[in-house]
Amino acid sequence: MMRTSLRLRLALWFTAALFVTMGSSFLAVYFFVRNAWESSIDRQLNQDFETVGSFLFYRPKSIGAQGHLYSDIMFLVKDGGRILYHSSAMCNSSYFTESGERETIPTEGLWRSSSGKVFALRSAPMMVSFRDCVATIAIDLGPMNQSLSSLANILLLALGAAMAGSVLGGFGLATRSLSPLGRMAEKMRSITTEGLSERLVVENPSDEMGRVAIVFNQTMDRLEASFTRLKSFAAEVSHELRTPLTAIRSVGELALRASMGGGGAIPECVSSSAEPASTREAIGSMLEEADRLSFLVDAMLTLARSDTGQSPPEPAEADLGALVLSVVETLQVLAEEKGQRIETTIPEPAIIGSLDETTARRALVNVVDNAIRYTPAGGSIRVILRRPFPDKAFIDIVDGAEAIPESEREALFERFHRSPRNRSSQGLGLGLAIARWAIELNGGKIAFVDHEGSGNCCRIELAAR
Amino acid sequence: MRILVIEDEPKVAGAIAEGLRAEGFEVDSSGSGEEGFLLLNTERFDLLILDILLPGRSGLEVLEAARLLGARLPILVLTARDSVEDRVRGLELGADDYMVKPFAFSELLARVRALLRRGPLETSDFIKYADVEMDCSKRSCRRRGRAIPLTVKEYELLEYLLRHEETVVSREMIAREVWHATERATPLDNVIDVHVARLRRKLDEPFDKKLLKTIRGVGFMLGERG
Repeated sequence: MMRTSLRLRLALWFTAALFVTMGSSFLAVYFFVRNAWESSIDRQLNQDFETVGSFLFYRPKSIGAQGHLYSDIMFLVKDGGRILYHSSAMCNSSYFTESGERETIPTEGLWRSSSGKVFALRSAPMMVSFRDCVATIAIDLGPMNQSLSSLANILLLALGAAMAGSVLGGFGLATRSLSPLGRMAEKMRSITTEGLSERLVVENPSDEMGRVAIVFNQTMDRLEASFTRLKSFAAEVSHELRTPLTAIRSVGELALRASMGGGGAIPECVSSSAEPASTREAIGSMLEEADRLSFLVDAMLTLARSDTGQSPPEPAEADLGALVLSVVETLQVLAEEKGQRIETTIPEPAIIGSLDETTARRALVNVVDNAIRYTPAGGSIRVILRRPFPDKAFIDIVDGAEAIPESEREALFERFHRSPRNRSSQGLGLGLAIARWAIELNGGKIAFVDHEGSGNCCRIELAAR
Repeated sequence: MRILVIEDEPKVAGAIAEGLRAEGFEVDSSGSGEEGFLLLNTERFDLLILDILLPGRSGLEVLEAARLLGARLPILVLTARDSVEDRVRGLELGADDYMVKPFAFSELLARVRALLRRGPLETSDFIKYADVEMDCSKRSCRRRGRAIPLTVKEYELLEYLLRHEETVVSREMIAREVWHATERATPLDNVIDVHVARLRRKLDEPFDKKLLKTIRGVGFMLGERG
């Protein structure tokens, strides 16, 4: 599933890139805002000092009994260890109420109260009523911290949403942009299996998909051209070979007819003298060879056509048992002539296969004929039809010949194969090659398989209904 | 009966023409589509034997044009291509029969006769040739009054040979007509040979006069001569 992982990988890469950019810009925003806050707090503290200084300078009379001063600014003024003044805001703040020993409360930096409030503190010497005192200003950092934390929350939320959106959106986008690739792959498969004439649709010739499609189409063009050449070559060869063969047969037969005396006039193209028996024999022998040659041409054409991706024949339902029986019945006499026995095993109930009967019969005829040919006289041949799986039928043809070494089995299906056992016979070496072509055309398999006992077992595997 | 042969291969055309003439037909032959078509239009023929692959005007064009002009004569098409499309196309365009090269002349002769007869084959129940008698209704055969026991295939083979008495029949014809094979295969030729040998043993061996003859390279013939 390369496609799925590619989509996911793309989405994750989008997300990672987005995370880096968004994350760093959010951090920058956060620190910028925090700095701004901090410097504004700093300015505030300085400003508050000035305010407090001028306030104490002008209105020392309005100080309450316990050095209480009404002011929004939190401050206190100490003279040595003693608190001289403190503002009402300071008095109400937790800084003042929770700090326990008022003499030991910190006067510089940040201070966190036990209730969690944080204050920024600053102290500086100050002259109040001609005394050297120390003034401490406090600013509650609560609002700032709250703002900063809500900012951080907002930024984190935005980042999370963006990540989620980018994973989903990126995945969707990747899926969408890769879907033409998937469709192209489907199409390519159908082109290579069904026919070479179809082409991919180029939606946009300048994008990546379009370029791939164009290159693929060009490749298919070249492929189709060479296949067409091959096909027409086969047709040419067929024509070129069949015409002289026709001439040989017609002329030869005519000569034979004439020499038999019944045919009347002797054709011009044949010698006009009456042929003696030996000439007749010679012509007959040549005609036999011409016949063999035309078999060969037919077989070669069948196989040549199979190379060019012939479409399979329309399958029909057929009783495999009946097919086996009829093939065995036809070839029975060949076995009888060699004193061989053919045992046929057909199971009940009937096994129905879906196949093209002409080609399947041809394969079976070739295999059984092969078995008869290689089984020595007086031997026996077994043809067993069975259904080992609900959707599969096996036809095992077991001959009585010498066992074929496993390494040579596949070679038997090659064209013009001549194994040592085959040399003496007059076969063309195409029987099993054609059988394989025919069985594969029907969606089946054929091979020699291991089996118990003597002889060789050729197994035809076909789909069963 | 007058037959026109349109075939560009001179040897094939010559052999067909001479062979048909020897069988008593009147034959004209032409080496090109144009010339043949002209002949077809100007003179009367009873049958046309037409090669599909001709230089210039192709056989299919001649066929189409002839049928369009209303020619009614039976047309036998010869083709070197045994592709199904070619056959279908030929038959669609109005051919009555087709033969794939290379064919046996005896088969061509049988087809020509069948086309000219233009009727079903003789199907009488009782066939007699020389001293052989066959009763198709009982599926029995006698020679000189003596019953000859035959297997089913031997009987069918003999019936076919009897119906084509004194005619050479090729293995191809026997395979198609008796075994109903749709295509030729070497094993089937061997099967036919075995059956012919067995039939000969039963039909000819007990008698002096041999009837079932093998014509080497061509096929078989049931006849007294030859």
